[in-house]
Amino acid sequence: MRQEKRHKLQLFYEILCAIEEDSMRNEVARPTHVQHFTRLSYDKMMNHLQELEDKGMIHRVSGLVAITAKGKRFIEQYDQLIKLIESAGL
Amino acid sequence: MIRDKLPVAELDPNVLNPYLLLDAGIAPAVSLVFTAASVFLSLYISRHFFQSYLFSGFGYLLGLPAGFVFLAASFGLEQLGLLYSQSVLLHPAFYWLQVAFQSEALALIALSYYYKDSDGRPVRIRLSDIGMMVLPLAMVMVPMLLATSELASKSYISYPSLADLGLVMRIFNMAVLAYIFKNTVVSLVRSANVRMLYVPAAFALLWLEQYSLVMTYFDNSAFAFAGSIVARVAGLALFAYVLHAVTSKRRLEIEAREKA
Repeated sequence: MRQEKRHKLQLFYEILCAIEEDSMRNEVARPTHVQHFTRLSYDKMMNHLQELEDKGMIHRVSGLVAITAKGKRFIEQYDQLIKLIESAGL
Repeated sequence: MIRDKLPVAELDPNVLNPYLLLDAGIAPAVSLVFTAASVFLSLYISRHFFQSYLFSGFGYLLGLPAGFVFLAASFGLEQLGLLYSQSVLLHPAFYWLQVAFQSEALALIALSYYYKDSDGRPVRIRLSDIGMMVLPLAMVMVPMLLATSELASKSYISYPSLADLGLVMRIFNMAVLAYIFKNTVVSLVRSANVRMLYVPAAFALLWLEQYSLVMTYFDNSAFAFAGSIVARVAGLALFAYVLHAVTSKRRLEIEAREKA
């Protein structure tokens, strides 16, 4: 089934949510689990993870990923944005 | 010079600032309270949308904060018009600016709804897009050109002409608000979310404000004017309430999750 093209903000949000969810179960997230949740190709996901790390939203230690406070704030802000847009009928 | 000494009612048979229809003893206080509330609510709404724009960078969102700032400015100009109601020059000048700012504000808000499906992606320009881009410019140009053409032929701005201009711009405003209302109702039907009913209701109240002001133009009724200011504050308060509820609910959810 063809998937609708996702905006970069939405991709970041989905990746960060996947990391947060996996971290809740196993303390840190595995990139393969994140890939499974986000339905991205491995190469694309690694590029996005690099970008998120550069922005300080995640940190990676020996192949595992953890979300930072900045990443959690991004999730909160994105949720607010979506709710604001929906409630305003935009 | 003689005009400076004439009472405002004689100069202003069409009542540019409807607060003058209220009792002179209470008009300044009523005006101050409703203007302060309207300005505060408009800036509160604007702040929410501006933060969303800063976060997302979605260009189409920018019309809302800009529009609500213009709306707040128009309420401030209305208050200044009342403060300078005895000034032959400033009273019509503030009215003129108020009318232009209000129409500009609503046109900017309408632009956000028009471009809502772009999601920050580049859009293909069609003829209707050009029409929508020209709309906010027209909202400023029409009142400016009409008033300045009047100034070119006479040494002062004619009150009846300005009142007529106000009527035309209010009808423009009603058309723009009807467009926004239609858009929000379509979104409501698509999402089937009852909570979204508040936003079309808020725009319906702002439409009612404009309609009441049109009624005030025809019969100088203080009752219609009182209805217009109540409808305006209620509409803005409803919109602000929705935004507050949406953002604070999310914060509570996060706090609860962190505690858990």
